[in-house]
Amino acid sequence: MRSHRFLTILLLLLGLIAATAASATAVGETAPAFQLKGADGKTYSLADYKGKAVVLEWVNPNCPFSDRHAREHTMSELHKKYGDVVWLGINSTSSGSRDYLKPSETLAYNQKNGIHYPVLYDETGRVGHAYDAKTTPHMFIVDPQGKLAYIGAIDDDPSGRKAKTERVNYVDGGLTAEKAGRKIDPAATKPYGCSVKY
Amino acid sequence: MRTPKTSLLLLLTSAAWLLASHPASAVSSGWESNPQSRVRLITPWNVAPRDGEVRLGLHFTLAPGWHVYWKNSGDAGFPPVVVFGKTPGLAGTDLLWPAPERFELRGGLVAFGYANEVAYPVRAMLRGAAGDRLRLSADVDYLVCEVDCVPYRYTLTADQPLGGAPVPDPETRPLIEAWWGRLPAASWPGVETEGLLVSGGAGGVPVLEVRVRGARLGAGSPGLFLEAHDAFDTGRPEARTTDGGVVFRVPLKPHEAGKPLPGATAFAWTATGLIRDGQPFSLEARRTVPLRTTDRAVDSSAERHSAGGPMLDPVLGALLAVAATLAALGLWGVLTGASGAAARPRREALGFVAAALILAALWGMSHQVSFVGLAGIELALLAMSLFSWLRRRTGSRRFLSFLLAVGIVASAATAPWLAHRNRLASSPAASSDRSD
Repeated sequence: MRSHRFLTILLLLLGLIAATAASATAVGETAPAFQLKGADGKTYSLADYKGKAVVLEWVNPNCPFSDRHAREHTMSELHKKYGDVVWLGINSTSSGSRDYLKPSETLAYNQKNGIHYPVLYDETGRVGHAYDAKTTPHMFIVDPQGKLAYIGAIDDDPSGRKAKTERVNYVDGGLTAEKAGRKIDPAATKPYGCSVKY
Repeated sequence: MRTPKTSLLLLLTSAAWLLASHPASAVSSGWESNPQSRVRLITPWNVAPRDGEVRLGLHFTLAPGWHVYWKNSGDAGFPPVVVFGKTPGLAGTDLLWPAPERFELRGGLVAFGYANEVAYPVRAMLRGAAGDRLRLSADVDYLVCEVDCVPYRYTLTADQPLGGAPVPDPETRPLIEAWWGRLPAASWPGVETEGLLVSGGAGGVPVLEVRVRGARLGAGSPGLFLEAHDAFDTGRPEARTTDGGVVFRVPLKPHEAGKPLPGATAFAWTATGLIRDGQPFSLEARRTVPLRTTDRAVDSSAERHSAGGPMLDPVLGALLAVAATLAALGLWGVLTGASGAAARPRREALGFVAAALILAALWGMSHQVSFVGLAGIELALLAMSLFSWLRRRTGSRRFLSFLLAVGIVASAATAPWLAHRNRLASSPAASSDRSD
């Protein structure tokens, strides 16, 4: 009898693991919870920011797209503009990838590019897969209720050809709408960039 | 001092080198090169006509392992962006997209594009071009990726001579025509295409079903490539042959949860790897696809193949793998009878072998195992370790017999589904289905 119970628990556990590994995300769904260590050594949990809008940015400083936006201060200027919004960079690059940066290297990179928000380490890719993060950058806005309000690209200019003022910055528009209590439109766009190096 | 003979030889050698590196007959921009790729703008004419359609080409050669993108780049990347400069007499330049390949990236991601070489066809119109030359200019932004990605930007220019009597270029024209021939056809004699958005099937995941009537699957890997969509992300397509033709099924993931599906949705796709009367072809279509809310009875065979969405598949896969493992271990336990401490390690080892053989047989049936399939196998190995421990604690022959029965029935019932489910790309033989 005890064995039967054990077997049932085992099967449920395996199912749960498999289901978690394949988590899919869509606008309107609850943002998957996570707890990750930052390059600064502190631990960050999404649950700590309930009641605040949160921007999650998948980053990889060795990806030319992430790097271009860092050099152009695309994200850091938005972070400054929306001071009451929590901004978290997440790096899901596997530690075996040649793109991997040690925490000290990430801190130096951020310092050099004026990035003042935490960058979290997700070397296992668990959080990246839970969000179905595909590119760097890949942007997510989590509303104060903990629901995903925007998923997609940072802007409409993959090649970086347009002047900064001519680009449609979806996250800027999304945060403005969020602050005004309006629905974000578009709520989803196709992200561009390098693939996440899981 | 050089003799006239030496000078002549030097002149001829120089001319030969120039001819080899920059063929005089070819009208092209010249290569722009980098370590991953090189690109040039080519035309099919030594002397082009002043009016009519002109076929140009954006010609890439790529280092091994690197690729550039189709109009939908897939999960990452972006397609080339070409902006032609204003040239008097030249109008309507359209970059066209040959049938792409699919590239599997780390982390279960995919990309669509071209490896080794591609000449993107460019359609343009000449209308009363004046003068004896046409100055072509194109700003090209593109991304080339292997594991890493590198963006490049070049301005390509070429001078195209014009004349009343067009003269084709023997080097570039065959190349442009070959890639023009790889453009998907809008229609094909005897072939009809229709789409259907099926909602309410198993797993609750909407599925785009594309039926290509009158075609068969060719020898290569068939594929259905969807253009980027505002409302959906697309999953891994499946292809199978039916009596009436080929059916592609693509699970879709809505961008917004809980949003009702409209009665009709526009999709654009390219189906590749098709064949009719021995002739291979690709087909593109742009359709407003009706929604059909259904239960499994409407197309039972199709629904059976698509059972489970992104969430459900791994759960079912894991449960099935566990069932197969239980069957193997249970079988061995029953066959070997009473447990003896000395014989236990040998029995367990053989149990592992039996389970591995079952999984190998499933793998063999599936030709190629997807990431979901591999995850299932890994979970099965974990289950084997845990079950081995459990078995030591129970030693109940009756319990093992019960597990044996459950495992065998579950494995037998689900093996075909598992094989189909875990296939990366269907082959005609493996996916033949007479249920249409």
